[in-house]
Amino acid sequence: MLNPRVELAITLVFIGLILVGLFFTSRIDLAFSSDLESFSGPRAYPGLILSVLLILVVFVAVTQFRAVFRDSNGGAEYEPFFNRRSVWSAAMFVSLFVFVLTFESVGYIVTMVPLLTVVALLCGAKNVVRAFVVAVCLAAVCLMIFRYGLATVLPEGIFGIDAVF
Amino acid sequence: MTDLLQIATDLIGWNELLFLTVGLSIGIIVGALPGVGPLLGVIMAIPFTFYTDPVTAMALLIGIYQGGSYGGAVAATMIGIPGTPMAAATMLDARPMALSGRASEAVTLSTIGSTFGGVVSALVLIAVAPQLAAIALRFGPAEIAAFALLGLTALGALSGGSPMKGWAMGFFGLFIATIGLDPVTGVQRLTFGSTYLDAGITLVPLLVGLFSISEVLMQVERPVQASDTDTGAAASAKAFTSLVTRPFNYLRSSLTGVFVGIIPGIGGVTASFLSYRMAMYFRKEKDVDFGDGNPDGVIASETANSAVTGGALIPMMSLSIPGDPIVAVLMGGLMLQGVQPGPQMFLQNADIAQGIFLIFLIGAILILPLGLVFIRGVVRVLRLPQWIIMAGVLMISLVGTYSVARQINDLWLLIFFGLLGYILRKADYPLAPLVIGFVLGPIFESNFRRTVLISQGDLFPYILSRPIALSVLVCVVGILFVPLLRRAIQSKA
Repeated sequence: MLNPRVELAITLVFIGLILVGLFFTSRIDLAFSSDLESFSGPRAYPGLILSVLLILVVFVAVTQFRAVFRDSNGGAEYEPFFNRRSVWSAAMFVSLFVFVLTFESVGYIVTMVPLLTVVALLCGAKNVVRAFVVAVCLAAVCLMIFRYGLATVLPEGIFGIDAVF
Repeated sequence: MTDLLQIATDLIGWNELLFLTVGLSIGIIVGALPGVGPLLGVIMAIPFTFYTDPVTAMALLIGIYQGGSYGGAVAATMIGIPGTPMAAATMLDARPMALSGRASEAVTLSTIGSTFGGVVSALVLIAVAPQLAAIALRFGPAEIAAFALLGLTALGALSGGSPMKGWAMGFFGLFIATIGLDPVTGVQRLTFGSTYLDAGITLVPLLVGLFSISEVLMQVERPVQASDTDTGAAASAKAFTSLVTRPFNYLRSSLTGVFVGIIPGIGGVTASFLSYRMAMYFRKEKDVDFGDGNPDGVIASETANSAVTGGALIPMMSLSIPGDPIVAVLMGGLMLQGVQPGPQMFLQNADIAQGIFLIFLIGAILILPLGLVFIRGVVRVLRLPQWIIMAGVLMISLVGTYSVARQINDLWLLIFFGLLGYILRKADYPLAPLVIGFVLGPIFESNFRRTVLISQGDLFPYILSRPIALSVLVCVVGILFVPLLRRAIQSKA
């Protein structure tokens, strides 16, 4: 079970984001000036949805706030939001970010193979060479399925290695 | 019966059966690939139908449609990614079953459900297509909005421990769906000037990001290996007994799917979640909780989304109205053959219409042997080391998402929703309601606002004059408030 304080903090961030959303919703252009009064304007529907969402999340926050002051886990330790391996999740996310940043300019094979090698290592592969070989095989099979089976062109990138297949 | 067999042998030959089997196999594969899906499969198969007769052409296309509808469940069970949006409901229970070593049973249940739903919808298609199509014609924006609202009532029920979190996620999904051009006036909403966002957030990056990327991030942090997987006849036999022990679930879900299928514009996601919600309502006390690997959840969702395929063909064949994008492509494929769907089709091309009905029925039946053969192969996936599975999942997710529109922005959205899914899962917010809200949001909004415009401001008198919409809204109120009322009475007692 997650610590209620952490849950509450996340919910409060959520409330903050909803308020930001409400602000931007109030700045949506109106198609007609009469839309302000009617329920048919472009602002009304997202505004209504966000207002209900705000009410719901405030209810959630109140429940979590009450849980902060009582021991709802029977004295047991709460599950931490981040653990020692969370840094690997962050590394995974950064790898994904770099992949998307370079995918079109550098090319499919050149970006996919390192990404898959990193994922394999982060998910428990012990041998770097084996992880690399599996990554190359997976990327090549996927390329052939999408190129020849589904007629989807993936970015060839700077080296044009994909053309080999 | 003899007449039907005679018609079948006259209309369906080895050629049609071969095309149907190839179509089903392609469908299962594209359905299992996240981001690819049966729509792309059907579109790509169209050129192969140019040189065939209409029934053979439809055998290939309908095979992909039916196989794709089933294939989504395989990916949802094996790797925790709904291959198609409809499979999101299936995943809620099929994935926990796979993680507890019952993958084979879960996929067999999906196969049986798909076959059952498909056969029931084929029989309905053969028996009462024109009559049901006439009912579908009475559905206007008010009725469609009411049905979308009925689908949204599943939100609170899919939240596990906290219904409030489920509702919040559902409304969050509804809000995300409002990004893009306003469906009535065309005004930009929350796009911040980006032309990419004008079309709105697309379903594939959202779905794949929330479920697949977040799963990879979670696995990196807390590796979970599926238990030893059940294989062989015992697991399949156990799944087959569900036909005897849970017949009403199969039947109820099939009829729900057919009914939702005939209403244009609602689709398989609504049918799956509605059926899932109904299965929860009729749950037996001794059963495992829904969301923890309850077989009824898998049956309800898969049976309903397969039955939708037959239901969706009814307005297409009878009235020339395509209920969803895949059916629109099927209709296009038929028109390329020089056959115009609609009431005249039953008079001018009766043999083709009967051939299509029979192809649909045979396709539904063929899913069973094909699926059972397929299961033996895919269950082996779970025996691979977790790092190979995760690398494969990530690769298919990225390439599948990119291949839809070849837009790099789709990949940015994908990793954004992956991060969002990761945070929400850790904070114990359920993801399924977000998907329902996102899918049903645009259907509800556009139809609700059309209803407001048609009613010229007098919404309530207008709704009172629409008996179908009114009945559905009464059901919605009942579903929302009867449990609260019951709880209040019980606490007083």
